Amino acid sequence: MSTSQQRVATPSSSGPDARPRTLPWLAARGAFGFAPAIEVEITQLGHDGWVAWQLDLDLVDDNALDQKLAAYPWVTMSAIDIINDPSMDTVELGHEYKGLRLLRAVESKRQLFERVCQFWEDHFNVYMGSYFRFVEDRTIWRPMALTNFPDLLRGVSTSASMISFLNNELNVVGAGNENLAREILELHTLGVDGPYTEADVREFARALTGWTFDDDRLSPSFGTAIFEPSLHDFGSKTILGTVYDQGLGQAELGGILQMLAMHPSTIDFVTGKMARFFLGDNAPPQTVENAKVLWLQTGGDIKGIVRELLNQRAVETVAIRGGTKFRRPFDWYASIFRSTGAQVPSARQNYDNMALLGQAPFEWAAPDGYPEDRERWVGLVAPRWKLAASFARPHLGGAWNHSFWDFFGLVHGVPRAGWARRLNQRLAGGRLSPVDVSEIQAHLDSLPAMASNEDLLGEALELVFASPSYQIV
Amino acid sequence: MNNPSKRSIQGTNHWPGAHSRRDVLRMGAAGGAFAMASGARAMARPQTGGGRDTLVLVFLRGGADALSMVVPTQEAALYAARPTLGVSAQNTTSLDGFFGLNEVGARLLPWYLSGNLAFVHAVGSPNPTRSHFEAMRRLEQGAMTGGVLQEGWLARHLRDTAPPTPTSSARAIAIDRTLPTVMQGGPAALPILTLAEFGLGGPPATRLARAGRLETMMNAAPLPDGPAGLTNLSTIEQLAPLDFGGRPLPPGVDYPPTKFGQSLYEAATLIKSGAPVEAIEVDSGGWDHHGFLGPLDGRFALRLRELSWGLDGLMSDLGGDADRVTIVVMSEFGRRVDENGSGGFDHGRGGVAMVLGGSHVNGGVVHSNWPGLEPADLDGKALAVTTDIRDVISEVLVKRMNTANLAVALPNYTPSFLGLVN
Repeated sequence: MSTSQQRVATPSSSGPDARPRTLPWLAARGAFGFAPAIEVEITQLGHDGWVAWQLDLDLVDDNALDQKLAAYPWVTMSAIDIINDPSMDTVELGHEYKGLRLLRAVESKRQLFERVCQFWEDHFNVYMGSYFRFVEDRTIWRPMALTNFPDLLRGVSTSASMISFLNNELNVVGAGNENLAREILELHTLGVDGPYTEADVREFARALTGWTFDDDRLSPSFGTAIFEPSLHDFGSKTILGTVYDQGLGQAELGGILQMLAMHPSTIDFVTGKMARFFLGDNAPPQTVENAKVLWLQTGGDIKGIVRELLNQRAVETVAIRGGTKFRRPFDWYASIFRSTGAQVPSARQNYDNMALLGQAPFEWAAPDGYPEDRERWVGLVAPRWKLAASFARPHLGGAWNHSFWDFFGLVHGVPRAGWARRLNQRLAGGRLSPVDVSEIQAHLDSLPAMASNEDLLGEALELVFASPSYQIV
Repeated sequence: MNNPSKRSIQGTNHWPGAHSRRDVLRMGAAGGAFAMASGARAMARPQTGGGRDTLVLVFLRGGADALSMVVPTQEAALYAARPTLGVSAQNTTSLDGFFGLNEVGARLLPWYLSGNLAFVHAVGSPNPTRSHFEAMRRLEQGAMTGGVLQEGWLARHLRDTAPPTPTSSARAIAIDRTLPTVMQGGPAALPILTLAEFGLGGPPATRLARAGRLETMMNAAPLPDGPAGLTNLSTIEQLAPLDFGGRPLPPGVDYPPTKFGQSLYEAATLIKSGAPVEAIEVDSGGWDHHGFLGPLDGRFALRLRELSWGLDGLMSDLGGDADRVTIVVMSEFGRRVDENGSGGFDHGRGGVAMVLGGSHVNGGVVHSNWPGLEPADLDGKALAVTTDIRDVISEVLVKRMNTANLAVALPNYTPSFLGLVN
């Protein structure tokens, strides 16, 4: 592998301490939404400086979040330790882990890292049907998220959770199961339009035989992937025209995955998908081209690719063209906490809320991951409206950890006639549409003069979070 | 076996008395002017007769084992391949002398006998994939061969076929977490996790005013966000008078106490209200039984019991309204004929589909161009597909949904109708 030496981050053309025009866009694409802290960070470091800083995880202190996560000690336990602890309810742990995903998105200082993790969660989706998945989230998915694509591909392809999710334990010499082979080619590397045939799927499946996992609950390696030579097909295989005939056994797969990871179709497919994730459909073609060249030159260095995609000029271009992305439910839910600073509810409550919104983490059942396409999500706004109505009025009940007083600072000292404009600045970095702002203000103006601040702010916050321009970034 | 299996079983059986339930339904429809009026709003009841059904699509996710559901009890090869899991004839009720209905699914039997339920066996996709993901995508896109299509077949049908009466509320509702592929890309299609929770929150005193502000905002919002938001608002308004949690059931009618049962109950509430919904999608998950399948007492039996109970509940609940409802049940594929080492079956090919509804359904029949179960008859050790599932979908779209252009909804295919519906 090669982790190429990064270029030294240079301040943006607007210079440090001048608020970059791209700030609200970067906060919504390189992070989980606008928040007071990120406004300070990007203003101090500049656009490109912030991205470079975020990509050097050692420089970003995340101790405050780590201390909160320490309240869940099982998050760092192995599968064998979890099943040997009779106090552990693995189903409930799974629900909590999904809820903690939201806590990380809201409170991590490593916002860009969390966004990259989210991308790989979908790209290498494994439905969390067992605790293998959250154990390997800690040991494989997250630590490898910012390394390089060939290593990440090897890591997830030979993880116990991926092997069991796609039935590769059933894929044995003489009795093949093509599930994992097909999805690696179709979803993880070459893409559905890639240059592979059904024969390639079958041949690749033969190469994957023997990759299984230890399901012996008495074994110290329970829940980890293993290569079992007696189940492996040592014969010659031809995949995408390359012959693998040395009978290397366990070592064979690494070479095949390396070839796939650096295949031009993989580079096209995955870079394009990353560009849509970070920049939307209007990603500047030159930026995408540069990222592909970087992939080739650096052996798939993920940091370099992300830095290229999120560079200030690219984001500026997207912003000028007015290209937007529709926030998925998870991103919307994270953003309402980030923008208001409201205390995040319990992990279990987060899980229940995200399930109602339609995007509980790790619960997409198919191997393609939660979709990005707008069509899939735009109809699913009514649950947001209902949740926003409750979130905005904690004084009326609901399982929230925040109170009205967490919100009051947003408009403190501002007359009611200026609330909509103020909330637009404080909650969306000024990105709400003029129509939405004026409708919110008109609604406030129409309410009785004697209405309480709790009631007024509840009305205003609900409408901000339900407004169509808040749904897009 | 001496190959009676190649015969077509289509239309071989019409049970005496098969029309009793149908007549009841017809009478119910004739007297059925109980259009719902609630609050200030009365919903117009859609026209029947030349009008259009509400299509209820039930997807059995995971690949349901057809051979444990509608069992070819005369096939010795079945029991040879399934020494421990084969469902014996005595655990079935004969449907036509060749197929028997698993006793666990007994609540479907009255509907078969009354002619309101037809089965289609050895049905599926010509695409050989055994990946759930790809099979479902192709089934829902109607793209059995060739590349990926951009929308679902139901979405294309809705886009090309004007609604029977102009409406701004949802034309298709998935009682589901996200919009399923079959509805993606279509107009006015909404995923609603549970209709009982669907609506605006916040204080009732300001609800109308807030809805009005959102409407103005949505009118100014970009495509496709704005129209989707407006559809939500209209649908909330349309459904507001309905009680999705507390509608009392007719005497003797019940649903399984599960998410699936709740979804079917909500679907019935929608249909009986006369809401202008043209299609409703409901998922029945958990049919991927690689192990511990248990056709009479295991995981499969749990699913089949829930399915038959739910469909019986829905049909009974609909009463006379079933004359303007067509229910289609399908799965992405069937499973292998031979049992594996862990008491289950791996992914296969041919499956079973069901069509239920009122007097328009030509039920009491198992349609099948039966391929046989001898080793040479199989497709990769699985029941072969001899009927294209698009024949089922096409016939319903054409005869019951007034589809404007079948070639758009299901491109590159010329269907043969089985005579499932009138």
